[in-house]
Amino acid sequence: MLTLAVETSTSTFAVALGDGERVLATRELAGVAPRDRDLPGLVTGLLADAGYAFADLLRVAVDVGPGNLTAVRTGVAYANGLAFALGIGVVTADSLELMAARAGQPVLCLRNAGGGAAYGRLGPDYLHGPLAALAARVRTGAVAVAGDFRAEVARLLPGVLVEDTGIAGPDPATLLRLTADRTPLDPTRERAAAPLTETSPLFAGRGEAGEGGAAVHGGDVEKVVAVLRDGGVVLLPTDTVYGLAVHPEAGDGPLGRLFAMKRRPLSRNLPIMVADADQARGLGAQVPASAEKLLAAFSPGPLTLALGLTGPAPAWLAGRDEIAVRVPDDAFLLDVLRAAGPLLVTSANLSGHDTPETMGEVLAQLAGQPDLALDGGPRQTVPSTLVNCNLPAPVVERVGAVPAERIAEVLEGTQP
Amino acid sequence: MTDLILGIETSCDDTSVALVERDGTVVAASTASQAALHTRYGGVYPEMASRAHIDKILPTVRMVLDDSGVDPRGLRAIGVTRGPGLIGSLMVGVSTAVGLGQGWDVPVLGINHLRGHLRSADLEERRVDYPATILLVSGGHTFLARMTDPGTITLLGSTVDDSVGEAYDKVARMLGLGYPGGPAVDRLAATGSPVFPFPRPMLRDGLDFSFSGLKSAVERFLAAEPDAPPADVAASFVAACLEVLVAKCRRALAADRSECLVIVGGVAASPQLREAAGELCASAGVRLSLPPLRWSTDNGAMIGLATWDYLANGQAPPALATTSLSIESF
Repeated sequence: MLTLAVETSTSTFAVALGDGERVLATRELAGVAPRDRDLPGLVTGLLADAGYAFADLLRVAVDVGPGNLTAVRTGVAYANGLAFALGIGVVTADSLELMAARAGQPVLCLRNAGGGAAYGRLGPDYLHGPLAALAARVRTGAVAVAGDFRAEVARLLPGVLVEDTGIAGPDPATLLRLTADRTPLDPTRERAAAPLTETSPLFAGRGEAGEGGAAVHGGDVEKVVAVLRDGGVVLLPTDTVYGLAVHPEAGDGPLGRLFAMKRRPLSRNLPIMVADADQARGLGAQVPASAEKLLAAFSPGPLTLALGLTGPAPAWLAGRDEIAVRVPDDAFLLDVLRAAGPLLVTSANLSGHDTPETMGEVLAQLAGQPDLALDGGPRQTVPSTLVNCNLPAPVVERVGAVPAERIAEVLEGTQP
Repeated sequence: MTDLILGIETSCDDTSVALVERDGTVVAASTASQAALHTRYGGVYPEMASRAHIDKILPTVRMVLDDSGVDPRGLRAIGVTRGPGLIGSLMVGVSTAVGLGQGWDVPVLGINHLRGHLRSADLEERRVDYPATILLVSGGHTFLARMTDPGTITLLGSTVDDSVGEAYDKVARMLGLGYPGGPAVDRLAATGSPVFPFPRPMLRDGLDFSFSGLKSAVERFLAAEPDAPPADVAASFVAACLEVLVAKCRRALAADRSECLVIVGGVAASPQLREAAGELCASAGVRLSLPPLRWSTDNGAMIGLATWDYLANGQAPPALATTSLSIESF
């Protein structure tokens, strides 16, 4: 199957033409300023070398990074455009797996992520975080390195025998080989082949804190908060089910995307997660005696309270007279809430479906990709219990993780 | 061969694609706007813009082709904005366009975004008679130019600092009106009175513009008088902008014979500007040409129409992103 491989994730643009895993021709462009890199000219020359025409191509393979964002995007946009025009598929590989495959042995691959941070792949694990933290993941007496920072790793690991593979970046021949059996994507589907960044699910939540186990958040609070503030949609584990979160001050854009992922019409009346009762009061919520009792008994925990809005409220609550709030029993999520302020969080599922137990299943079910996905291992599928405290007497409106009898016990004797 | 050009525009925050005939007939057009995405920043956030372009561009191209039923392999050319604009956004447009062009075996031309704006008044029907004086007022640009024919442009004056659209956006932010600020400022201004005497920068001075001082004056005024009615502040700001824009147009029309005054760019949507320009043209005895609102903001159709001028003039710049580009260059 005649395949064009496009590799633009390094300062050297390289292209190859192959049939299956057999390389027919390669060309590369080095030492040219980024804006003057003529990728289409490079490909035209490549096809001429091998005696083929564009119409002969049957698929396009492209490296989706991580790498220089604009350069990767150039390659991805070109590959998508060419494949769309020819009516053929796009196959993708990431630059870390390409370097690992090129090395042909267990290897630590690194890519500069800027600001002292790196993208990495060690064995099968994808990593993102400070370089030193990634290097510290090496637990063996010897390691082979590829990509950026090869010399730095040796300095950071004085007791480890570091073997330099000499591989500085991905190459198009490996791209052909690695993608030969992959299923092609439809380039007109949104984000069919999009450049990878640290917010891609591949890296999200696999930072320096991860210890290789499943039930680890790993994502750092600052990064999660930054993505939320930037208008990102974040998939995160809560103390009940997996949730989709957006920052309420980020506007309707992220809300629209969140509901698109759930295939539900947009609503601004999402439950609000808060770090503590004070944050709820800060939203203008009225906390009656019944709610105080329930909070004392079940907060933090799987209980959502509907409360009246009476005090001065932030602008994003304009027009609302009631909100649903909950304090989750999850240390990491509480850290995020303290740093970001209250967040809009709803269950991560398609409309009418249950929330799956694991991050992978959730991502497979959702109609779109969150900007950041945090892996918390398997989670419950039962949501929180909802009690409406904005009525003359509190009413249990949804029975979830807290049984209705427990609510009744706590409320017994409470005056509304 | 169909006599059609596919125009692609991704220089800022809209992904826009259109099929355009030589006479400006728009066979199909589609725009994916990112306004909602950028609202919270009070401006365009480049990385998010690039990401959105790569998501939207092929679905937008497909929509235009599906709507029209046109076989793209018969296109006369693809015209894609090469600049000026945000580098990341431009790169997505030009890279996708050259991929499409190679796949369909259709030539791809890199088009000057500003020339697209200048031609937007002739989309769907011919509205411009030459020679014409053209005012381009948008978020990124403020120019006065003279066109003796669609391919021949002389720059008469431009802003020495901020564009008028930028000043609108910044004043909108000061007044808490969000992004994009132009329509919001105009709406609020319509309910107030221009009672505050903001400066009219360079009013009596040639054909260049300056809006930075006006913007700062509004900022200082709001700091000193935080309780001033926002509608009156907006009305006073708009009045200052309009007086300057109209004075420059009047001066340009007086200097050289023009058949018509053409106003293009996002700020051309301003009802106040449309009204003031109408009065000016009536008194100066020239025709006023305004593109319909949908063509006054960034769009692929204007790029498509400008591409026809390139072909007529034998110009074929490569589709390479060029962040800064003069209005006179192809």
